Amino acid sequence: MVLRYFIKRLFYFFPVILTVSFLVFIMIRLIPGDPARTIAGIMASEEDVERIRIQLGLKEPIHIQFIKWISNILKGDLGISIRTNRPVAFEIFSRLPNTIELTIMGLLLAIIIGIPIGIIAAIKRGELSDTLLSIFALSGVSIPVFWMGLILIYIFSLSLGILPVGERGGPLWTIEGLSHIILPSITIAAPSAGVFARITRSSMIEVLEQEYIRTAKAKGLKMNIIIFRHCIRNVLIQLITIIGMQFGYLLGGAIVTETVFAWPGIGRLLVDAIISRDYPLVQGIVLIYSILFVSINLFIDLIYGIIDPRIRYE
Amino acid sequence: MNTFPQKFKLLAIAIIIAIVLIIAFAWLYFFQAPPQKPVETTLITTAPTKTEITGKYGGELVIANIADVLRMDPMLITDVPTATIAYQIFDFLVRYNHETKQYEPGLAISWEASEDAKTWTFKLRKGVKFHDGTPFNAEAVKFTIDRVLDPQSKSPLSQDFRDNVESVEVIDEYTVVFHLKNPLASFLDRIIRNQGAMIVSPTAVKKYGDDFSNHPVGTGPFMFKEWIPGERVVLVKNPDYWGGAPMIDTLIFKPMPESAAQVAALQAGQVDVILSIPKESLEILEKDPNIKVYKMPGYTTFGIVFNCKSEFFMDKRVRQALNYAIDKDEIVNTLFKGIGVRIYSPLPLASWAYTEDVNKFEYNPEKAKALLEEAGWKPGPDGILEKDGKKFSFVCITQEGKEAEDLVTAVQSYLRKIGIDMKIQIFEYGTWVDMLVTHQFDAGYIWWAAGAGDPDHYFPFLFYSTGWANCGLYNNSKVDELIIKVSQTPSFEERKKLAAEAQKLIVDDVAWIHFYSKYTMVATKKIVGGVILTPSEGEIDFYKSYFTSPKGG
Repeated sequence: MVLRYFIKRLFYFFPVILTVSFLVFIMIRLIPGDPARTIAGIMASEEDVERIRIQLGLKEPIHIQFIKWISNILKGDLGISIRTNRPVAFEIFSRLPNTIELTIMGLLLAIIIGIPIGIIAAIKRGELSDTLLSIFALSGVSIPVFWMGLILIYIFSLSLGILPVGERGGPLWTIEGLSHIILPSITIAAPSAGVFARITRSSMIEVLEQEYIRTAKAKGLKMNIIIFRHCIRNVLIQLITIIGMQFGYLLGGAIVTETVFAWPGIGRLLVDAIISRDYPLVQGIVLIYSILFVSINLFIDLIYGIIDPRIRYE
Repeated sequence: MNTFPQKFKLLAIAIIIAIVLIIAFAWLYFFQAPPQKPVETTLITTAPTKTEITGKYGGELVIANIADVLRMDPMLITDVPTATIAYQIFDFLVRYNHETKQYEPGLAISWEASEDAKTWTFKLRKGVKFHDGTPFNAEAVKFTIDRVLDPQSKSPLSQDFRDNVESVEVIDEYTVVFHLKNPLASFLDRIIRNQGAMIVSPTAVKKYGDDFSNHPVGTGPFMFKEWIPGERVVLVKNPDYWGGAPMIDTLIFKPMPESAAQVAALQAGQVDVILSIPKESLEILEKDPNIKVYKMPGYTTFGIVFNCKSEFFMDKRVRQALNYAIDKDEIVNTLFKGIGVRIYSPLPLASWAYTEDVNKFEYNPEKAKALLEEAGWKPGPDGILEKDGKKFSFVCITQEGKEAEDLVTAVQSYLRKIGIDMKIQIFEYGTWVDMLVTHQFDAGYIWWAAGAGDPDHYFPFLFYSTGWANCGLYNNSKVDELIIKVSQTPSFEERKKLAAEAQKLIVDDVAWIHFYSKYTMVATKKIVGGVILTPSEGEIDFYKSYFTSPKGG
């Protein structure tokens, strides 16, 4: 039963990744703009650009290109970046840990900030503190990431001079490394923290309205026990599903945040790769992105299955 | 319902997956890509620099670059951030002093051209070594150029070099001769000071092959040490540099793609030099007492290009009318104050061949209307001009970005005043370039950046009838003739005259509406001295840089 559920889930894994890869493969080629021209620069002659096109295998029919790409991946070869002449795998894996570091930091921060805000707001429903916290959460969701990043830089780096403007300072277990990651992770966490707070608040309120809670209240049980016994579990179910989605948003947010804070991750690499039409690099990054995304979601689904038995008996 | 075992199994699977994921991430986290090995030279561990010259200190100079480094093989470089780095590592045969507008010895100590400017002989500097110990000689020069000339070469400069250079001949160890296909007066600028002619170490190229891009070895004042992807490129000083060792011990280039963050990093003291200054921050930096801003007119020109095959702009009178209808002075003075300087011709102000002895097309909407009337465009019922029932409504394509969008928006409002409806379509860089070079537009925002101010860097590409970057398909046989003459006439004075004549014609035909040429700018901390800026973007010299007080002290 369980295994079947697991296998069913796993069954989605490869088709999703294959479909995403194929779509990206097509889409990046649909964008006007020629990688050979971008590499050669505007001063290069048509003959040189044509020669580069042939060297890159861009003259072959698109399905042949795709089959070649897939079969190389199965051999463990992601290809060579057009822009840098370096292996795509090297470009990605030398930067991926930095992105993972930033998104996980962001996720933790979002949970640490978002959930307590939601709980307090739910308990104090209708009071002034609820209103203030809700405004806070709403601004987290709605402030554009790059603007937030620049404002944080302005306040903490320029005016107060206590935190660095950006770049990665080193490993997280050093003071230097921590001080460098604070601003980017706040920036990346803000929208998710807002979402977590709102979800927590609404699902808490939903639970607090239930008959059995009223009964418990009437029986004279202490409020905090009620909250922790009954509510948190329900809130968790809601949140677990959201966390998977949020991880995706965080990866997306990393693209902007990494650019603002000069963070050496793959989000920024993706932007550069798209701008210069570096097909192999874009394909490689999106492939890694989708594998990450799908495996996180698979994992979340399983956890969800544990928490909520109804899911696996569908 | 026996859910416990079920749950247990599921939990087990979840835990296994979690462990796998954690191991995968941990592996990634500690998976440090093999660090770039320093160049194999006997690196002298530099002791703290003694103040040989009072008040000048060495140390670590941190430079914010707008993007990460790409290919450091000079013949493959097409981007400014990488060119800036290569410029510190490699030398040209000949240097150019932008102050005196004179050529100065580089790796060559003297050179002469034949009467017809077809044969160029260089005498080379003796006793110079590449960073890997390989001796520099005529063979190295031939090797460098032959690499670009090779028809199988990956270099985008290949065709251009082959169009001009017949062969490179080694006379003796320190004498080398270039045989050209045609006379080329601007040979020093067009070829010798072209990135493809930065002299590379033959030993290192043979050793690394394609990977030379990541292990650049030259003769320059700084040696490549390491590159950490997305984080930094580190160069160390070359103690044996032929011109004397630099003061600065280490150059660190950090990619910071957001220019507002670069400015903040400079003001917060995190970096010493920034290479791109956004318009909005210029004033702030100029007022900041701890910061120096360097500025000089550069080699990049900006304008609007017309497609001469477009139904709207085939008629020269219409192009001229539009030029009269737009107040270029006003636009440049208000929108580009401090970052650009008004130009009237296709060449940048910094070029020795630039002339203002052309039709200046001063703002004159009445004249514009008269010209349009002459060309058959009459106001329609809604105020928009019409001809044969067709409205004068066209699209101007532009790249995204504040400067570009500001310019075309201003142009749009001027044209509306005389009854022309210009629509703006904004594209991302790659698309915009593609549309320009494939002539899919009526009018477009355009700029041209060159590494030198010689007219040969502008005319043959932009205004020659078959030029690669002649996006507007501009075609004037007289101009074509002049362009060839400018390129082949040995006499400097003669060339200046010919170039002036060509500019007159091009401006009068309104191939482009010319607006401004940009300043090249860098900003440094006040304690940094000796940064040498040039009009060419990416040609910034840190060789003579120093700190006026010990850094961090």
